[in-house]
Amino acid sequence: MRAWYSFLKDLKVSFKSLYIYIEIIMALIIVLVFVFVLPDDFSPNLTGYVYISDSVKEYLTEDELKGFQEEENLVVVDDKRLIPGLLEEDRNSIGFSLYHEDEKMVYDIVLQGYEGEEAKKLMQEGIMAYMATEFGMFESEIQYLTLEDDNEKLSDRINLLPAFLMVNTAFMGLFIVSTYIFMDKEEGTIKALAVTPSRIWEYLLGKVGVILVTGLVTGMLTVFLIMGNQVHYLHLFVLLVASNVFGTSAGLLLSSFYDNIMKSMSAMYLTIMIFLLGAVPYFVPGFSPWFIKILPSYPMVFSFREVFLENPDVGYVYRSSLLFIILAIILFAMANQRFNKTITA
Amino acid sequence: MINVEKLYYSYTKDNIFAVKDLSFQVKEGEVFGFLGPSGAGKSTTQGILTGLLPMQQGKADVAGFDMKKPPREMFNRIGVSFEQSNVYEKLTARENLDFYKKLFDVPTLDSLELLKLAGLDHVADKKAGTFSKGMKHRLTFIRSMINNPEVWFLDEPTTGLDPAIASQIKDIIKDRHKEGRTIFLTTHNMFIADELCDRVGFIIDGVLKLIDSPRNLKLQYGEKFVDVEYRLDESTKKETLSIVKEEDRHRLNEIINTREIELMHTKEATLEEIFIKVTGRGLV
Ligand SMILES: Nc1ncnc2c1ncn2[C@@H]1O[C@H](COP(=O)(O)OP(=O)(O)OP(=O)(O)O)[C@@H](O)[C@H]1O
Ligand SMILES: [Mg+2]
Repeated sequence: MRAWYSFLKDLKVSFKSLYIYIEIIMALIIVLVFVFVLPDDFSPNLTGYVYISDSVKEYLTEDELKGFQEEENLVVVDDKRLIPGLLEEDRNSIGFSLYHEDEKMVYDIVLQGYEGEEAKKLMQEGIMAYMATEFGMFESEIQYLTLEDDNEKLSDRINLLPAFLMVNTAFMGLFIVSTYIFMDKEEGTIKALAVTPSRIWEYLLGKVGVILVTGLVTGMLTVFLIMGNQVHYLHLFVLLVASNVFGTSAGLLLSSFYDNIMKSMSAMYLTIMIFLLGAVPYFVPGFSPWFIKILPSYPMVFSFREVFLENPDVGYVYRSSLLFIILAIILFAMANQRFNKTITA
Repeated sequence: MINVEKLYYSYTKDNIFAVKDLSFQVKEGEVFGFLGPSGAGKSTTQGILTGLLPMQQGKADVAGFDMKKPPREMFNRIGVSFEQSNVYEKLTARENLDFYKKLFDVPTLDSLELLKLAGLDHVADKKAGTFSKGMKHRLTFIRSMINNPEVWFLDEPTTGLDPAIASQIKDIIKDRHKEGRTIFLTTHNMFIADELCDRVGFIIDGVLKLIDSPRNLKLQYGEKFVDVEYRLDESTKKETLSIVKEEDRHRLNEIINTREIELMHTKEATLEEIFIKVTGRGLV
């Protein structure tokens, strides 16, 4: 009950101080950036100019041909000699032509010339693979290599959201809860609390509550404004709660070692940096050494990703959430233990 | 109500003690004044007795609770006012008190009544952050009595207040005394101590030099003087005479017998003078 009153009071105080508005404004800025600034996909949209000879067309069914012509980024041209000119006009494009020569299928790829070797190879392979799937007549050796089993893909834009949510709920909580604690120490109000029947854990739990409300409101709001109803909100809610409480408890433990915010800064910074490492494999799929995989931020960012997928791995989301909750309880207990000894000294 | 036995405390956990070998008792219903210059160890002692500082060495119990590991319930029965005011600056005076009330398991006093008592009712709904130092101090003071404490710890309750308000605070303390509360009063102010305290303790450099009632101290250490004013050839003459010294006593007798006396009163040594006499140090 006292924890509840403590929570209500802290909520009131937080609405009268700056941090909560900084968080809300941050979230709104993120929303604006997502909605108005970021393109759906970051790699530039290439246009492909295609020439298909009549002899090749014979192999295609009516539907295949139509599908080909309706492909958004493809422009079908009537003469392959037109392609170089078109490429010159549209620098963000490539061309390819398909025709028969001596009974063999030939495909030419026309590139701009500024592409590096790697890019050339990549495009060539991409086109061949595309052909193979579209026409079905190419015996293609090329295979897609995917890193994860599920090959559902988020757009580049949405792909950033899980990382933002992790930073906003877990890291901000870690940082802000310590500023609240140090503010109370500074004001001396902690001493006034210490001479009442209320217990340290009640005080700390009140703080966890305030950070949770802030994190939930900003997290849910951001996602809703960007994604509308295309998200699994129940999973998101559970995950937000778990990761937020985890972050706050870590922040509590951290701040229990220091008596003012300046002294805690470097430790705080280091912790956040280490946590951030856990998100690297998310952006650099080939890179996931064991010491990064053991960071809680690793399952955290991938769990956040799941809630945006059409078919999320629900088990994974809830297993990670459970893990964060367990870690949070342990960290909270340790923080409580330490604060009991040091909070008024 | 308060028993302290051979109490030591070191902030640095070494041989530099902020309080040393402190022993004293405060009886139920007594106002005990803790007097000493800055840095003497007054707040440190209060800190230990209110559980804010850990018990390092020695023994102390307050309201029957051992301060080695005081249960949280103890805090329903004590009240603590701090030398540095510590209120939520972002909350109003009333919100501060209303929140504090909810932390106790015992009946509490009405917030507005308390604010009236300290002359803060007109700013009840203003943020404490906008208050003057003295106003914050008064808020801290009345907050400490919200749970009707049996034992009331007051660290410098009148410091920094103007005389009118200080006297208001003094009256509140007197009233509580009449109700039989036990009060541990830390102060620099000898007049307040003299007026309010049943007994006082002089502490200096962490050591308790002396404990007694102000009256006994004056009887024991205060040399008494008499101021007499009498007529002498159309004008008024004034003399200050000791009633202890033989010579002065004869002179006093002579004046009383032969002159027309206009005014005569005894003058006691102040607690401050006694403090200086006993400890060899001033009170600042
Ligand atoms: N937090 C602290 N850390 C280290 N030393 C401290 C601390 N607080 C007080 N001291 C030292 O302990 C001694 C006693 O201080 P204390 O605050 O108890 O004195 P005081 O009698 O209350 O003085 P004042 O009248 O100025 O309030 C002083 O020498 C002081 O410097
Ligand atoms: Mg002091």
